[in-house]
Amino acid sequence: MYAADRKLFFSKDGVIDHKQFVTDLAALRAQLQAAGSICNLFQNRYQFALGIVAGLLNNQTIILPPSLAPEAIRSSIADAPAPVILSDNAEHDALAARLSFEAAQSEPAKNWDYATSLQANPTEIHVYSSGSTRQPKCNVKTWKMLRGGAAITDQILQELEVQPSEVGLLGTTPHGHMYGLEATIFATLGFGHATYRDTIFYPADLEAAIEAARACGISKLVLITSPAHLRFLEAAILAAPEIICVLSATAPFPQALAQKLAARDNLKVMEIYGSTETGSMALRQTAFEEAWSLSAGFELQKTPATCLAAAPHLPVPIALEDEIEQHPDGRFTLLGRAGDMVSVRGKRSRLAALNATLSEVAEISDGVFLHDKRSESDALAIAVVPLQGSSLSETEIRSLVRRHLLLHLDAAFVPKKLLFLPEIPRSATGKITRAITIDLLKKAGLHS
Amino acid sequence: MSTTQLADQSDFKKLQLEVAELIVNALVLDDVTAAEIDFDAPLFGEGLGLDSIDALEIAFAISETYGFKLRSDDERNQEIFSCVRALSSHIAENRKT
Repeated sequence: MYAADRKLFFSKDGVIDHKQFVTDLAALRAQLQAAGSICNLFQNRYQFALGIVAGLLNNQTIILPPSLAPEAIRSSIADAPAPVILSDNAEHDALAARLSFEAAQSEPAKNWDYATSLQANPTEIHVYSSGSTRQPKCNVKTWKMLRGGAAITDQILQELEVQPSEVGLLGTTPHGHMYGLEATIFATLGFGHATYRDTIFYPADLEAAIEAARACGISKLVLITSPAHLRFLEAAILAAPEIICVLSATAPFPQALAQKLAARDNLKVMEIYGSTETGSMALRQTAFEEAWSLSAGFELQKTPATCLAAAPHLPVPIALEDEIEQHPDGRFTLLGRAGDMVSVRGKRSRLAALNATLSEVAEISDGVFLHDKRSESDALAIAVVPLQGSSLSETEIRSLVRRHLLLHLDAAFVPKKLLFLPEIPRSATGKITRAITIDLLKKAGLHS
Repeated sequence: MSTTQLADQSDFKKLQLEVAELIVNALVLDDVTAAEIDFDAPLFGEGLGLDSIDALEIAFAISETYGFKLRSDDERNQEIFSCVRALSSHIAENRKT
């Protein structure tokens, strides 16, 4: 286990070391005794990590809702026994019992080595992804699975050949979702890498984080991010020699941007491939290579219909959402997304799920998502046919459609372009041909 | 109402329209014009229905146009981004250009 003074989290308020962590952990475990399950909405990564470990040690299922929308929180805890929401936001009082964070009294902690005991702990962590129906799909994870996914982050940090005490992780991606959960929270809990407590969103946040790191004796930083955020952070990264590695989720990561970043002195730029179902499973240096290398322990099994990913930390092999080509050296190339998978700004959903949600809108007699796969972020628009005799104006219908979709879908999948048509030209089987989709996307100004 | 107050009011109206235009341009919203945006309607969730990357896009455009940066640790962020009117007041207070 880590030494008592091992840095686990840092912020402008200083360092949280291992000793502080186990002390606060004991206090939070006691406060959570009566909970049946835990919905962890803490925005601060330190508090969130405490919530994860406390719940696991108390054998309380941990729920990480797909978004912070009240509807999403409510449905993710609907079947949970005696849920307690960990949150500093009083608005969550309306949803279930709530516990906000309080700094602990410093009683000497007894349980220092939580990591070893958790490796075989079956307590579930529920992480959501978009499914093939309107309801987000619940993915059941355990400590072992998430730590296994974080191994890739650890591997990259090892290869940077820096002292653990001088390096820190900065996260721009939400830690309640798979990538941020593994690459920041579990890289800390499972491997002892220090993580910045606060969220980095705007470029000015990155500058503040670098300043805080410096004050905590952390001089080398690894940025855990995504292409959507990188577009805005690029200039700040190029100007910050403290950042020695950029670890981006794939959306994918545009090669030109990767090359621009990698051209800076002493900056390693890596892209991570994975999904909520598999966790992080492969990596590449996007600036120089197209093929992906599997993370240690992972294996691909090709079946006629799909490709399965297997690893010692995954209970069963998992079918990939992408079509792939395997190479003799063990690496692989992504050929494209399988089936009707839509990818917008790094977020994925099945087209059928989007259309199912649209079909529930009152005041339209027909509606369809118009979708065109693009390499970085797909083009998405909506065509609707107002209900005959509807007294609503187009503006009113547009806002009705938006409101309904936003209630059930991630905002990334709610198109800003909405076409009104007298009828949707469906084929005899009810399908919309590719040519018609392209034609309608042109009308929406999304296809040249 | 004094002439200065009246001038301030019309300046602020102008700024709000300018901010609505900045949003429409930054996000390429072509089914709504700046003049159609309700300055008091929520930008996120209902209303314009923007997402977090849209917020980054707007913040970027604000720093380019008005010369100051937004930060996540500003406790007023939720209020600042609540509607065009609130965002415009924040810009009026902090603008460097």
